[in-house]
Amino acid sequence: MPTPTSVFHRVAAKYGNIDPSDSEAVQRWFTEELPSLSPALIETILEELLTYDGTRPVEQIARIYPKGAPIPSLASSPPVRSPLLAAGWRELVRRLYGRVKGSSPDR
Amino acid sequence: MARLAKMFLRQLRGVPFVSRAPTKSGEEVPIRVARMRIPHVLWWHAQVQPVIDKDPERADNGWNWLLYAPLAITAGAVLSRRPVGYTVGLCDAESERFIPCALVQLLGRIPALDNHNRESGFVWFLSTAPDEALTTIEDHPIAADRIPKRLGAIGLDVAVTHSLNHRRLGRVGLYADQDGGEPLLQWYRSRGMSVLPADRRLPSGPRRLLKPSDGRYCYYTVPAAIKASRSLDPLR
Repeated sequence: MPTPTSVFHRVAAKYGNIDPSDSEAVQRWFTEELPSLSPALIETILEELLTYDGTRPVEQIARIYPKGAPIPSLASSPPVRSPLLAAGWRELVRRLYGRVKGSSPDR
Repeated sequence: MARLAKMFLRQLRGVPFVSRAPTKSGEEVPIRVARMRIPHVLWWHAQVQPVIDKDPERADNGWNWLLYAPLAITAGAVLSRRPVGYTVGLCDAESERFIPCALVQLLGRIPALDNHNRESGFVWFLSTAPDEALTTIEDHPIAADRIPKRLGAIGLDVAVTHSLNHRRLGRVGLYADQDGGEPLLQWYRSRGMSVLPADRRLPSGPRRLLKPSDGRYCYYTVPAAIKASRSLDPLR
């Protein structure tokens, strides 16, 4: 791992017509524009990115950091649910029959 | 026979993610594995990545999760490689905060490195927060003796657990970054991974030509994945 950051910049230039030296624009393209592309095109982009996994970065990228990002909340970060059988009998019952006294929704 | 039965059972019923981590204080702290979300990576890029970037020795120096995460968060389910992102975070129930300590981005479906006819997970990106990033959080610093330990092992376990829970039987592959040198390869070996010999062919695809096996591709066989998974059972 991984794919060098510069390859992500090149991809944004190729598929989004973004200036690859503009780190902020590249970031915006990935977070705002890429999700609205067709699945087939995203698939192509992903394969292209994966092709360069493990390769050496060839160019330096300017680093920018957001300011004042809040710490995420517990409520907006629910735990990934385990498969029903892995979660244990109590969770199994809870999910099958609704709430059971003493069971934790976080398990 | 009993060992085989246990292995089969683990594959059949799946495995819960870890929910606790050891600390320097000797006590365990509650952690949570959540699906990666943009606020997680936004906070990471503001608070954790600047600390990582101060250390040129780290393999994750210069990474930008704001570029990687959207591929898994918004499009993962419809893509054939099944990219998925997880955030391992410290749970602070008092303040209702979830403090990201490790990020893992996987591909849920690629041909296994050691058996091209089988499907495997693949770790694309994995990063853990340096202590300094967690002890210097403005308004919410974490005491040094309450910082979760074994985050690397927990991050790798997230990949194995995902593989077990998505019918890949624990198979996971990854490429050990060259910047990590021999110590990184040794660490993956110590977690039970095998190293693909340099003369072995990769599954078909452009990677076979562009980044052929060079003795730095690592993978879990099914028994090794089960063994590694069981070793973290006390933290589930």
